[in-house]
Amino acid sequence: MPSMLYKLGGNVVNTEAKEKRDFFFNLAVWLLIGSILLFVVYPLAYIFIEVFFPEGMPTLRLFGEILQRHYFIRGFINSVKVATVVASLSVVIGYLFGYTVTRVDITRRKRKIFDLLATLPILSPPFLLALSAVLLLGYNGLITKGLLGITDFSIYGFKGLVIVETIGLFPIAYLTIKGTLQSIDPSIEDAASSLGATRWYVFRKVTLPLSMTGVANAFLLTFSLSMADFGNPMLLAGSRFPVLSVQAYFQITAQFHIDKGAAVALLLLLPALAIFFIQQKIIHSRSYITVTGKPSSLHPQPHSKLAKGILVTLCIVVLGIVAVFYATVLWGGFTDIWMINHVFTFKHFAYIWEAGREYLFDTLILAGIATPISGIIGIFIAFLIIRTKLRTNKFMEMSTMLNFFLPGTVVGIGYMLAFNRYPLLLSGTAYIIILNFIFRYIPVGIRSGISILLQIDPSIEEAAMNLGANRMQTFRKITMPLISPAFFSGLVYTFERSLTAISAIVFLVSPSWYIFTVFILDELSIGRIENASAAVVILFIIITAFIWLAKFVTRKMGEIPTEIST
Amino acid sequence: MSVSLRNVTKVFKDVIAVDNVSLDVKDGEFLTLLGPSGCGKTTTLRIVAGFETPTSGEIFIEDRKVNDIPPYQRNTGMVFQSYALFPHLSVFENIAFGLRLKGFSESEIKDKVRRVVEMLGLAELTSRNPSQLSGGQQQRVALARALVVEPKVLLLDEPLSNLDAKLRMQMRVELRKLQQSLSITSIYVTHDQSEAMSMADRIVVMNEGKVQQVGTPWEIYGKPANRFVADFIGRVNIVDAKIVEMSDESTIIEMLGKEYTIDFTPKGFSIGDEVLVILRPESIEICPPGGGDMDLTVDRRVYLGASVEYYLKDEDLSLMVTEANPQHKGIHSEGEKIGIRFLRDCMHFIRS
Ligand SMILES: Nc1ncnc2c1ncn2[C@@H]1O[C@H](COP(=O)(O)OP(=O)(O)O)[C@@H](O)[C@H]1O
Ligand SMILES: [Mg+2]
Repeated sequence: MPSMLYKLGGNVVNTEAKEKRDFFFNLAVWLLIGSILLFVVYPLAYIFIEVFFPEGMPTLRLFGEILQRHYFIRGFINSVKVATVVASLSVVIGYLFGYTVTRVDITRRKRKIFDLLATLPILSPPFLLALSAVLLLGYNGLITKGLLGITDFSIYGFKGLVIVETIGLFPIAYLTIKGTLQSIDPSIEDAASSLGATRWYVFRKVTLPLSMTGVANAFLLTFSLSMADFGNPMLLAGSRFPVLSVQAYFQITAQFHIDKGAAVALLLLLPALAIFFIQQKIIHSRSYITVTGKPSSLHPQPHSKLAKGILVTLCIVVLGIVAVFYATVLWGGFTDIWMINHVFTFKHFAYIWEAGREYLFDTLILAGIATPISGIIGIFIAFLIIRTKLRTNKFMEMSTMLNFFLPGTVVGIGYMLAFNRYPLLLSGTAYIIILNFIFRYIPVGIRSGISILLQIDPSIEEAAMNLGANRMQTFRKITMPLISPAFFSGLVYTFERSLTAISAIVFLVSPSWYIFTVFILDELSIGRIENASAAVVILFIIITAFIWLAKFVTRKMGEIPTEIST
Repeated sequence: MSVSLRNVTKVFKDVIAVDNVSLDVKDGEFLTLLGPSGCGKTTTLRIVAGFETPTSGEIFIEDRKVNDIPPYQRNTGMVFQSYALFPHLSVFENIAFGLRLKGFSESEIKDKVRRVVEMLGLAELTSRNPSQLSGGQQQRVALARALVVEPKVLLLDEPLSNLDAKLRMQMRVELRKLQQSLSITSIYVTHDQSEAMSMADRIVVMNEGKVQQVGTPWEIYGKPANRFVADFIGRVNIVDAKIVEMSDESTIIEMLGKEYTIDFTPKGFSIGDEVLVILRPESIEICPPGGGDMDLTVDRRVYLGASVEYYLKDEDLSLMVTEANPQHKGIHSEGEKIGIRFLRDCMHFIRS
């Protein structure tokens, strides 16, 4: 198959020489690069400037001060400790689900339910799991006080944070590991079996080693997400168990030490940067597994009754806990006063409608403005990466990816610092929030764009050019319609992320624009736990509704055959 | 409309895909680029279409240098190996795509599309989606789409390679007829030598990015310029020889320990030259033992119906011979000793 050979050779439409002729195309590229520099690189750079050049002269004074303070060192150690434990647990649970779903001969229905429930926590609004933890295991918790009568158990601190973050993050590990397990060519394992290896032996000697990149990747991802978490530690860790993200927030909003906040952000930024580059290395090292091609279908194999029993039971236990956490928040939202007066009431929802309505609408509007812009930029960059050889591609991909990957706290502080002075005085306006949403979630669009573009034979676009369509016309008339289903689902995800964003946004809110997650934070900080539960439930319903709507719509428009390549 | 390439070279990172290629395609000519996979055919075609920028060299279409003209302004019609039909557009819209971009009115578009679909037998299919067509139909739509804009030159990249054998044969004939009736300048890429032989006015044989020979099918087969071309086109026996005498109308060579007199003088050689003699399997006759130039043993025999192939052997020589119509001439068995005779006028010499 010579055509296959060519595809491996380069999936690229080479168009170097005509760059100068496509005026609008070039303009778009340069505008894009300019705005990435301004809204991604510049704010990050500003954190370094703030810490190391506070008065224009290089100094290590501020950073040194932070490193000498026991309080911040503890914050750093706590963050790393929690992240390490959470990432390890998430990987184990993620692997449990990944293996059970892709390899064990369970019924189709079970597989579907496992997959659905195990990915449910990805949709959690911030605070949801922490709220449940408090409702269940707090001083006044249903289990601790209600069922067991214990009052000296503290969910606040290390234990609580680990429980809640593991529940929230194992789905990420699950998806990563599942992807890797699915990309292993099934015949490799079959070959081992046919040579006489038992299931357990195949697992130890073939499956596990081949999926190690997925495991490493899952660990790094969940580690950095745990480091970056703001909502859960805000509620559960407080000041007795300080973690960096919360410290940075307190430095800036309570103590008004913007420079110290920036220095703490730097402590968050450095490990995140390290992980980011390690992860890029792993992804690009193109291990032998990925060579076997697209993720194949599932490859269930017969397992012994015992093995199956253990795996399935473990999965059900984990999912049971997830279900209890979700049910608890729902219950909390409909309860008059938790553990005191358990009558069913709508009054918290009524309260949210009264006090929180504007927050919700503002958030929907801002996210609604940012989402399509972010999506279009993302898809455009995906197009550039896959179909052109511009020298700036790498820069665009890496910098936007970095902005997505870095803790929201870092990005938020960067924005706060960079855009509160002339000539870019944006703080306090809606623009700063919208811009933050836009540039934070571009990689979502890039990802979905790349995955679908790789499936479209580049000669389809060449054919359009050959018939007289310039690059913009080709993009509009051919590329865009073909990628629109993927584009659309990317949009929904971006919208969801924007609605639930908190860690960066807390630094950017102003009295003129309300953000719903910040409203929830406010309710929590004055101890109105039932109101917060109701608000979280509302947010969850909105998100789920959008996702279902999107699924419905993409199914309607997704009739274009995607296996277009030869 | 003529197309010319002048010293065109294309270097990808570490591969020289096209190496100093110069070509002239005459107005209305059907030129085929032929060569093994990876020899740079597609890259050459894409350079003409404008999808690749040559590292060096110049491209002319109709005597106009087009190096800096983007693909969408070159007015070349390309038929892709994968057809590259727009999957979200109907057959009609696929074909109308280029016309719309050129700003034709709706009625002109209808008219032009109608004519081309009738010419290619697609009239019934215009409202379908590409995914609802068979391979052969998709191929025609791709062709129709390229032809309807009346390009200056038609570029075809292995357009028949995704069709089954029978349809491929049929399309060869149809495509060639169509090209002749429109007398449209065409560059046709293929790795299939019989396709090239049966369709082309002239063939360009390429290897490792370089042009090996340009010529009519007759010349390429009968008078290959070098060992690669001889080997690549058809099958061949290549034997060492030495020129011992040369006069105006005849040459004497020494080959396989014997002298042969040939009734022509190969150009560019002189007495004493070491040469390679190209002997096509069908240019060797079989005769009774002792009655020809030499006797050999049948080592293996492959019966093909219309012909039979003999692999003949001696201590230090093996030769391939094909004989047509074995039903009439009879067939020899393995191990049998037979005589062979080299057809002197079919011998061809290349440098060793
Ligand atoms: N976009 C590309 N990037 C790098 N190498 C390429 C690219 N396109 C082709 N090549 C290389 O150039 C050589 C010629 O390729 P091609 O023109 O496709 O050959 P052919 O069509 O004759 O099979 C091959 O070695 C191929 O791997
Ligand atoms: Mg090719």
